[in-house]
Amino acid sequence: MRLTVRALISHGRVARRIGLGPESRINMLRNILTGLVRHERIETTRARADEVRFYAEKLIDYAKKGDTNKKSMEMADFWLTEKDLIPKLFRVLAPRFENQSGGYTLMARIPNRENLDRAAMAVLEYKGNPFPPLFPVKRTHELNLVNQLLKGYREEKAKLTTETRDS
Amino acid sequence: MAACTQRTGALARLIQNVQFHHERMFSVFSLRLQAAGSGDKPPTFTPPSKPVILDKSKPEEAARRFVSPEFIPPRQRTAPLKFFLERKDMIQRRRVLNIPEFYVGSVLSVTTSDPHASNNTNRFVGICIQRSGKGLGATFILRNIIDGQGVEICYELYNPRMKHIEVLKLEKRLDDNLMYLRDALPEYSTFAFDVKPVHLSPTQEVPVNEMKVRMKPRPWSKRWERPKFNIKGIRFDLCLTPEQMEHAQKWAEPWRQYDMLKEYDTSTLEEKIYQEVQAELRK
Amino acid sequence: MAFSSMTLPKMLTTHYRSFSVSTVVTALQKLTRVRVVDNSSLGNSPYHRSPRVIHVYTKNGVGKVGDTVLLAIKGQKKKALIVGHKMPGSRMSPRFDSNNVVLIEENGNPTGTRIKAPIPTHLRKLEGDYSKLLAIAQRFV
Repeated sequence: MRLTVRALISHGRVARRIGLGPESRINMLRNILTGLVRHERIETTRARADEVRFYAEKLIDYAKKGDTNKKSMEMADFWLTEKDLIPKLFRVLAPRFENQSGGYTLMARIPNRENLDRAAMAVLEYKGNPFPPLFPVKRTHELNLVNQLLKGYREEKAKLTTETRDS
Repeated sequence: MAACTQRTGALARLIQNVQFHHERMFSVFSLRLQAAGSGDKPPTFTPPSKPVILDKSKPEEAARRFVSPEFIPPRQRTAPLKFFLERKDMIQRRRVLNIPEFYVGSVLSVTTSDPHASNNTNRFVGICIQRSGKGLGATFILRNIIDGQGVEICYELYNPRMKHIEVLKLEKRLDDNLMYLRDALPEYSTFAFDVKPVHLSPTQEVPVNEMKVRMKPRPWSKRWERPKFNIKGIRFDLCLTPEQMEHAQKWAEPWRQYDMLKEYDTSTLEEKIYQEVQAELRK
Repeated sequence: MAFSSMTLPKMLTTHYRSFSVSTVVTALQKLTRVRVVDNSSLGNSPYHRSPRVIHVYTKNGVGKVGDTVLLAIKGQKKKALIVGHKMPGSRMSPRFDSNNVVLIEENGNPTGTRIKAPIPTHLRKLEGDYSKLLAIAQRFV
């Protein structure tokens, strides 16, 4: 739920008005979603990324029902404009998120567009993609002084507990 | 007669069968046999217990599951507590007033208390053309044609003035909203006041009446051919040319069925509410 | 109206407004074409112009069931009582498929001798003024 003033007075209308009308909006989202399924990480304006995120997650939910399900096949057929991606959706993406319910995507803000209109931009990706991670992973420095001290403390504590158990 | 022979045959089979479960019946019969065998004292009459005939040929059919649509809260941000409290009140009312299962297209007879009518009750019979509203304010509209004059009454299901609701004919139609009967020929909404209710067993499926109605000449109150109404119960071929039907498709929104944002899946909600209502009503 | 009757039950006992305080919604207004449902000769003989309302005797110019209107019928002016309209009224009250009126004289007596269409029962609230009209009604819903 977007906590904005517009959302407060939207009377339940949760869709953003983007594009040239309802049909154009859906077609735009279709193209973005197709790109997302193909490349697994895309860069768009922030509103579009946020809007397509819902559809990307729902499409995975449908894909998890299997390719024999009629409704999910229709959905995949509609939302993926490039038809060679339909097997990828059912064979690659659906098994990847099998143990997960929701939260299949990750969105990150990136600096505004420089060249064109300074629009707010974002990166949208499916989790578990082969690219280097968006956020730097916390590296654990083993030889750091604090880590060494903590390590020694833990070892000592473990030793103490085993001694008390033995005695 | 045939039933009688069947029954005796079944009894004989029961006696032969060692592992059967009507223990009491078996003991009575064995006593009688012993009494007849001993001979010296006159056998006292022991009435055989009534045999229980279980029809095992047909599998046990479950009764229809029906959740009245006003129990399903609408898709909005209102706090669920409001709907929970309203459900409690609705169940309270349902304990007093029997609100039967009915659908759009069923023929109902409703008795209300009316201070202005003779002996303070007013009975109206008609076809249900619309059900709307959620919670305590749920309504349904009955339509009938009386003396050539179309009359519709919008009843509130939980209004204290409601006295009795009776389903005269339980059936569904092709559409979920029959407002187009206003523009249909009067014979489709004319119902006699003195018909006997047609009984439908609680295990049977509700039949769908696939009747298609013929319409009065245009203009109609709404352009029923437009795809947003999605009406299947009108004979459009009699009143519109194929060109007009094709023109109406200009307002079709074929992408709408794929818009997942507009989906509202109530199946789990319905199941939960069904369990809650059944548990409350059984108390 | 709905607001006052639902949330303030005390108002009902003390004071009852007979006109709507919400924004005006059209029931019968000036130039509405109506159907005359009694058997008077004036209302039933054919004429090239259908009878229409030229004045509504209410404060807001909107006529509901029980209000009096002035009709232009066959080139004459004639008073009539509204006995049903297309606009849905309150819940549990009937809505008709046409705007029905019954012709009345200046003193409130009906012109015809029989009413052909069903009449809403809550019209009986006007029992005192229109008792003769209600007496000739065939059927109430």
